[in-house]
Amino acid sequence: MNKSPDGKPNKYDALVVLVVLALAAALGARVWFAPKSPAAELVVSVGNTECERIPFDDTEREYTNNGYTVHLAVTPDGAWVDHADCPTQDCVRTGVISRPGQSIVCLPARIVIAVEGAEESGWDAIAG
Amino acid sequence: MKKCALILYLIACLALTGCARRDAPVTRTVFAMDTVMNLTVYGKNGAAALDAAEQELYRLDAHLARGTEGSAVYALNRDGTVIDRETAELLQTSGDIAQATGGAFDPTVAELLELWGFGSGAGEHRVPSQEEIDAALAHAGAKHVHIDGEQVILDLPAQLDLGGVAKGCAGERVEEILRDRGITGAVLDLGGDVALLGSKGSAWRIAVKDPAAEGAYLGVLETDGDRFIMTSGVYERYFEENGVRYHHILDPKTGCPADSDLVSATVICADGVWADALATACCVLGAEGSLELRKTAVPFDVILVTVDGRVLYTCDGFAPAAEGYTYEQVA
Ligand SMILES: [Zn+2]
Repeated sequence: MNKSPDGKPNKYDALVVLVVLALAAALGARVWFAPKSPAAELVVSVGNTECERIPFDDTEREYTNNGYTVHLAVTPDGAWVDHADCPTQDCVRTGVISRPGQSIVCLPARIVIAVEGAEESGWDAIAG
Repeated sequence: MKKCALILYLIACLALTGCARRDAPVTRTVFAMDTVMNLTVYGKNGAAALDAAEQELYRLDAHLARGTEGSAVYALNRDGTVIDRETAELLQTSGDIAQATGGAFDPTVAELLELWGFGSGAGEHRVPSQEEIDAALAHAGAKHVHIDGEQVILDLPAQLDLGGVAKGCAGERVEEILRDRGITGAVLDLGGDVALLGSKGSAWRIAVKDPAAEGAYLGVLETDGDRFIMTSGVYERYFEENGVRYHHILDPKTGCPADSDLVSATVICADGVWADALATACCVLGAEGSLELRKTAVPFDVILVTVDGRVLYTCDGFAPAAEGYTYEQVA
């Protein structure tokens, strides 16, 4: 660290240190005490693109892609595909999803319905 | 004096901006190999690199699928021969793995898979008769695959299925493509099988699914890049007949669903094809056999879930997280 000519930090140095610390503290506080983002929501992707985000409220949606139609039911407690005309019916069999990281996939229709949490999951991918 | 202030100011700037600006990651969803894949890349020109990666996944899917007319594997199963460097290399590695695992992994189980209805066709699931199984077993085995340079010869009526190595191969190829395009970090989720390329600046964190509970996790694995984390589990595909559950991981020796003490096996290995095939082999071999295999095969780590609720793991970076399991770190 550079020193002032007399070898001792002077008043001005102390002021700079204080300003920097105050700035850091203020910015840190903004990160730590930021208001929580809204609760978990459903992210629907059709084909390769995200098409909408739905909160967990009572609602219904219908998506058609690649020649198939998937019907989604949503309640505050969870979401599920109640019927679809795809040949595999894996999307229907998946059942209810509600927790971040869970998803319903309809491969024939190329539709993914995923639950995304309010906070970042803290991991880069899910194995298994 | 002024210098002192300047240095302090610079330090503060660095600290407040998180030290270095990185390019934001770019992601892509790809439907291929009967699953949905999510590719995330870090580095410059991510979108262009992802375009190339996506195309490569479609190409490999068509190239390796047994049921796709015009694929190398289709030709091989029909004609008993094909000249294709890529297929030859993949089958060479498959043969090495078959040998290393004592046949617990076998690329010639296509006919058996068809018998049980786990094949590529939309066949009905059913329990085949012992005669049918014996007949299929009679012409299965990696010894029926011969490689001479770029030529592959298959002793018909043996039938190949590369489903056990396709995702590992895809991970390897996509990583190569991304690396060539200057990508320095990437996480490829190939439908639950994960490939990690390079670094994103901090360690990769991979959650490992609890095979018994949707949306729950066995734990989180913290690891360096250039690793493949491939999982096989008996829960992935199965059917029930007369109250008995039959899953899709067939023991190449018996021709029946593997009857080991494992529910799932996650393999962590620097080679994608080995990781993919070893995950299947471990499910066939069971816990003891899997740990034994670590002493003789290429270096790899495992996270094994047993039918009696134990999780055996060999890697240091794994942090257990699920209730209801007994965790044991083993050598
Ligand atoms: Zn569907």
